[in-house]
Parts: sequence; structure tokens; C-alpha cells
Amino acid sequence: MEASIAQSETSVLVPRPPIGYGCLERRCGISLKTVEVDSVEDAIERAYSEGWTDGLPVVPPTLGLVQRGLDYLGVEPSEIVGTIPPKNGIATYGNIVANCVMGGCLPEHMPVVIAAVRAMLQERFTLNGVQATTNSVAPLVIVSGPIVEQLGFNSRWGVFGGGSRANAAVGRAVRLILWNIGGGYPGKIDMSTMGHPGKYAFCIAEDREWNPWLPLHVERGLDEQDSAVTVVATDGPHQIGTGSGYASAEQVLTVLADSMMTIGNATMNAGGDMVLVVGPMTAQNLAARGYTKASVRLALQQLARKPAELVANCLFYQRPHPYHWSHVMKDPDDPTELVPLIRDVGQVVITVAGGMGSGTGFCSFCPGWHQGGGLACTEKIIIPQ
Amino acid sequence: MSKIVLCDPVGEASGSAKKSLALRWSPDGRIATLFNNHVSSHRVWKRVESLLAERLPKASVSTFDKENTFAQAPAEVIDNVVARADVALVGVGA
Repeated sequence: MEASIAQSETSVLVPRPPIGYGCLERRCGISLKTVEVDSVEDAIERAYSEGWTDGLPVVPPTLGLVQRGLDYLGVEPSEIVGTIPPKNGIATYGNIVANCVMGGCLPEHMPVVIAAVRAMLQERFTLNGVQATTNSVAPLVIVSGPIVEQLGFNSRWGVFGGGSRANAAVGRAVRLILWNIGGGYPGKIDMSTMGHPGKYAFCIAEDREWNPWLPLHVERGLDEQDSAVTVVATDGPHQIGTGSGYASAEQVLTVLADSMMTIGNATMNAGGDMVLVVGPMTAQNLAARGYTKASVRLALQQLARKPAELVANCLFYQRPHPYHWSHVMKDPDDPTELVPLIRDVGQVVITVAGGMGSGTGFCSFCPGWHQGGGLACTEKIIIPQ
Repeated sequence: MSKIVLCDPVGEASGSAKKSLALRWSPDGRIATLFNNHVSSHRVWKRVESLLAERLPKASVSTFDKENTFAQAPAEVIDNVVARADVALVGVGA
């Protein structure tokens, strides 16, 4: 039996003053559909039979939990946030909140998810392609600012792994939105050949206390007291043991550069944005030796270069392709010329996260998609007043 | 027994995406090709276009390319395709 959330709208649709959520939306005639089940067990199975989940069990999106989220945000379920490609599903606050609930979000996590959705809908992110490509990229959500501590995001040990509700729930909610609203079904619309585990949840946070450099969102134009989400479409994280507890800055940078420029990664072949997650020990050691994020980028740009004759073995991208590395070479026919991983220093998103660790100084590198999309996009997180 | 009410999280496809018209086409009608310009499909797409011209000599064939392979075609391109064709062949490739 289907009903409409409009039946209980009196408690949801209390007129409220604009709180920052009113800027992009317009009213539409869409009401959130509902279905009825007899038990929690049925609810869990219904989510599978309806195709609402990508394989993991979900929190049943009960009317009460969805309404609680809408109340917290102070929005109407029918207000449109955007259209999620490739299916071009209409993202309303109603279905966004339902996906947030299914992912395990508390109401206060939902503004973070909404900021991530808005970031993914920026034109330069090219979400249509990110969702459909044969590449394995998934949107990596990086949370920065005071909200990291306020909501208990994990920015330290095991930052890419489990252990934190905030990271897991926000990451799951983003994925479920891409699934249920964007239609990113593997083998149907999402043609990712390999995929990666980040397609279940892919959310990390930047550490504020251990980051010796500018916060990510400040680099990207926001104020330090703001909180923000930055999304970049990336491969899964590749660990790099830098030995930064023992090594010189030059040695650390050499290890980072060499580990980043594998010739089969998409960024090496076709440019675009990439994410370097610098562990706090490595960041602090580099900072103590005078390195800033900007000078780290410059150093890596110089170091991360491989001979054309080696890179040319990879036919992943080929010369006619407009993003192919040969187009940034002075003489693409000179086999000794060096191919840069980093075509522009602005393409390296650097954030500080992870445990302090031992002297091994672990970092992670996430190659991106290519210069045509999946590029870093940042949105301020707007907290309802 | 009281029921549990679940909210559907699925996003309804926007108007342009959910239209599904019955295919009406004749060999002497108007056909458009809309190529996504993916470099790996250039050769096969050129072949498709030449086959259309060869096999359907009475048809009016219009060809369109997307500028951005990875983004959806802009609305004005779609409008142009719709205005100039009864049937469109849309190319993909990666």
C-alpha cells in the first residue's frame, strides 16, 4: 500500500525562515512515496527486494526517522536539491534524508551529506561520467573544519577504515544517494570495470590538531571557522611508507613522488586531480623543515616524472585522446623526455589525516580519474540554526 | 498489528529522462547520430555513420557530436537533434 508523506506534513512543513537551504531549491509537486511493512525484519528485506541497497543492510527509512531529519534541517520533503545523473533522478530533501537514514546518519550528519551532494553536482565534477565510467573511481568525501570534532569524524587511526559512525554513515549516505537517485547500478549504468571498496563508503576527515598546514577548505577559499566537504573522484588509497620518522624531507618527497607515478594509473596517463593524504608524522616532519603544502606540491611536480619511453608502454590512453600525456610534452617523440604526473600543481589535493604511527610515516595516494572530470569541488556545510 | 511506514529513497527520473516514446521510423525518414566523441570509438562510429549513408540512401542523416565525452549532452544539442530527426542513434564508448 502506498501513501504519501503529505499525510503527516503538518508537523514537517512548518514554515521556517531561510537558513541557507533555500537558495537552490524550488517547489515541485513531488511527494515522497511510502510503503508499509509488518516488522523490522520485513523492513530490512523490503529494502533488498525494492533494490534500495547496494548489498549491505540498511537502517529502515521509517517515516519517523525521515521526519526527524527533515525537522532538523527545517526543509520540506518536496524541495529539490538537484538532479543526480546518469539516471537524472530528482534529489529532493525527502529522498536525500531517506537515504541518509538508511546509511545510518543522525540528523546532524545530514548537512554534511547535503554539502557533498552539492559539491558532486558542480559542473567540473562531471558526476555523469564519474558514475558511468569504466574506471574504478568513486567520489571521495573529505570533511574539514570544526565539524570534524563536533560530530566525531575519525581523522586519525584507520581513517579510511571503520570505527567511526560519522565517517561510515556519511559515506554510506552519499553512496546510497548515487545508487537510489543517480541510478549508479553496476553493469547497467555504472560500468566501472573493477570498482573499489570505496563504492560502499568513502569518507575521511582532515585532522585539525595534527595538521601543520592550512586546512583544506581554507586553501579552497573558505574561512577557517567554516566546515566544508571536498569531493574528488579517486581510486582506492594506495599506502606509501615514507619512513618519515627517520628520513630527510628530500627522501620523503622522493618516495612520495615515485609511489604516485605508477604508469598504469589514470592520472599519470590523463592528468586531472589526485589526493595525497599525508600522515601527521610526515606532515609535521616536512613542516618542521620548512615545507608548506604549496612547496610540497612544487617539489612533487619536479620529482614525479617518468621517461616517455617507459610511460609509452601503457596504452590505456592513446595519443589521439585529448587528455593523453603526449599533449603536455615539448617533444612527444623524444623517448628520453620526462612525462609529468602533475601537469599543474593545483591538481594535487593535499590533506592531513591518519594515525601518528611509528617512524614508518605512512601516507596514502588516491589517483584521480582524468582532467575531464572528477575534479575537486568544495562546498561549505550549512548547519541549520 | 501496527505497520511500519518506510519512505521510498528512490529519485524519480526527471521529465526528460522518463519519456519513452514508441519508435516510429521509416528508411526514408530523418535520422540523427549523436556521438559522445570518445576517442576509442571514433573508428567504429565513423563506420556506423558511413553504413547509415550506404544502407539508407533515402534517409536524411544529421550528425552531431558531444563536446564533452563524459557529460550529458547539453539541452540545446538535444533540442537540435529532436528538431532535425525522428530517430537518433546515440553513441557510447570507453
